[in-house]
Amino acid sequence: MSGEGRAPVRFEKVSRRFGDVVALDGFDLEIAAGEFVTLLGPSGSGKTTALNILAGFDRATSGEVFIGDRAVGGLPPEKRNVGMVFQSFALFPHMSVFDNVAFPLRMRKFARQEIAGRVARALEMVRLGGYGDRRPSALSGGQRQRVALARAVVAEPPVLLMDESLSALDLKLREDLQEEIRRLHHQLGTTVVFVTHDQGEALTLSDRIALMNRGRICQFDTPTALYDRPVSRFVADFIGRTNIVPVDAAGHAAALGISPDAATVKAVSLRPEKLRRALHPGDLAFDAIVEDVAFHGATVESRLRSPTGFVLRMSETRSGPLPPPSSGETTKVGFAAGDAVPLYD
Amino acid sequence: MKLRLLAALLFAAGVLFLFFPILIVAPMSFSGDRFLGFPPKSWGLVWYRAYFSDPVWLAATWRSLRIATMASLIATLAGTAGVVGLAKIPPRWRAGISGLLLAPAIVPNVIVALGVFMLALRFGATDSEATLVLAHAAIGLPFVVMIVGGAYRQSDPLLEKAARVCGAGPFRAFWTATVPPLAPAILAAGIFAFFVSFDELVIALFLMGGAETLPVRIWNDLRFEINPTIAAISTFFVVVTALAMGLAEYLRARASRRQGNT
Repeated sequence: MSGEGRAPVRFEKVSRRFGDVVALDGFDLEIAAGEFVTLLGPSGSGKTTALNILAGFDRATSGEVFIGDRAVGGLPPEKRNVGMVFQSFALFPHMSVFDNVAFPLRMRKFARQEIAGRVARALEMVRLGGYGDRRPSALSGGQRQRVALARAVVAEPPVLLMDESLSALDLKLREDLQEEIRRLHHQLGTTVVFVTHDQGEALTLSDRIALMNRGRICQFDTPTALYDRPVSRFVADFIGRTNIVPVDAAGHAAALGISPDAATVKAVSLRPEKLRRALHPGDLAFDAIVEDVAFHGATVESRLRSPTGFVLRMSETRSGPLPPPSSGETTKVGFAAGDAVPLYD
Repeated sequence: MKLRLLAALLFAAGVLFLFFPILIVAPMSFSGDRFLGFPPKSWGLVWYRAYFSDPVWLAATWRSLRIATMASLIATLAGTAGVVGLAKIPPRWRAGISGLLLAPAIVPNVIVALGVFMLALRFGATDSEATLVLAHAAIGLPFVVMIVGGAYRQSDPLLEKAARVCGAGPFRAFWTATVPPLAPAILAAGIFAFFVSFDELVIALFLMGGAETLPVRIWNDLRFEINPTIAAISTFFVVVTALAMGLAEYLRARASRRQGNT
């Protein structure tokens, strides 16, 4: 199976209102062919609405959606030629694994021979070769979701949609399936639109992430850019953990040695793992009181109090040059000036 | 412990109460006497023979079977469609329409009978099997809506969406994804609706002047003489009903076992 049929996806000023509630508000998004894009956001951010509109289960109040060059807003789901994996698997319980995977091919009127071959290959691809005769009820959760994956890709749709597809599984299975999905994406090259509220999943899987809040995109960027250069408080706070130090009259930022170059900077984001006690040349530094130290396996997490009484979190790897701090100790803590990311809201 | 014993006793008493008529009627059906009496003084299969060789009884039986089959088919189709339709209309309409669908179960049959009779008079449709079929379908409908509705609410609404995304049109998706998981409930509802019609006396009395259904025949027979044929018929149909219900339950259980809880 090759990825020749992959297609770009475009949302153009898509709005969706449910009565007074605005679920999507002038949503614009351009996804390149073959790209793995995640719609990430808290519940109610509009990510599922966007996916439903793309799949054809819901209609935009205004705006248009394109798959390839084709405006699909008026088409029912069965005419859009997309594959989809749902959170609760949605396998047909009365059909065998084979019949489940064969279903999209039968709907597309493939010949019997071709169906047998394609289903076998799809099941092989999700490492379920030989499971064709089983009923979905005889499979584990992870296996069911792999069948659902096979069903979604067997007809080689140019776009694959995934709606919280891993959220129903436990952590270990989720990590296995993340790997599986990454491998599948490399192998097939289809465009993937993935919806999740789990940022870890989004950071691991995506080429780019559209972080959403209240029906709008806050930032559409690569996982590293999203993590390292958040454009707003919401983004900085939602992705990973961070210290948001206000730039205000209380002088919290100034006490850490931060002097923003623009007057419009309202706060800076400082990741816990960017703080360090072994200072590098040129580091900004401050005197911190260590209030609490917690062992987290690979890292040691400390709660620090700055000279102005501002509380910050620091995360150090245990392989660092210094032994872990002890509670109550006063120590110099520094960070590279470039790691304090200015926020303007 | 004491409470459990009390509950068990109450349950046993309840079951005994429900089975009591059968416990009296079944032995009486094997009576060799000329009149209905308990306990019978002699034994035999005379009354079964009387039932199966009497053209009037047999005609009434076939008529009832025919009417019940038609009424059950109509109630099952309309009720299932109603359940699915109910889920697709705006929620604020739902309570009212579902109330309408369930109403025939609340209104006494004698009221339904009177209403249908007056309406049938206007259209010249009294003394008609077709009218009775429709009336029976109406009183069977609430049971279908309740049984199939319960199964539908437990079914996975994503199945139909999954089928659509896989390329099935709305009808295809309905038939291949929505209906099969509901099939056991639909079958059970159909059997239920069948017996609602098969048992029904009052509406049939109003609508079937000349042609008697089985309950009407029993009623008319009881008014003139009391002989054990009725005990034989009752026993026969208790057994048939029990077998049919048992079969339905077996099919339902097997289907849900095969599907698991996905």
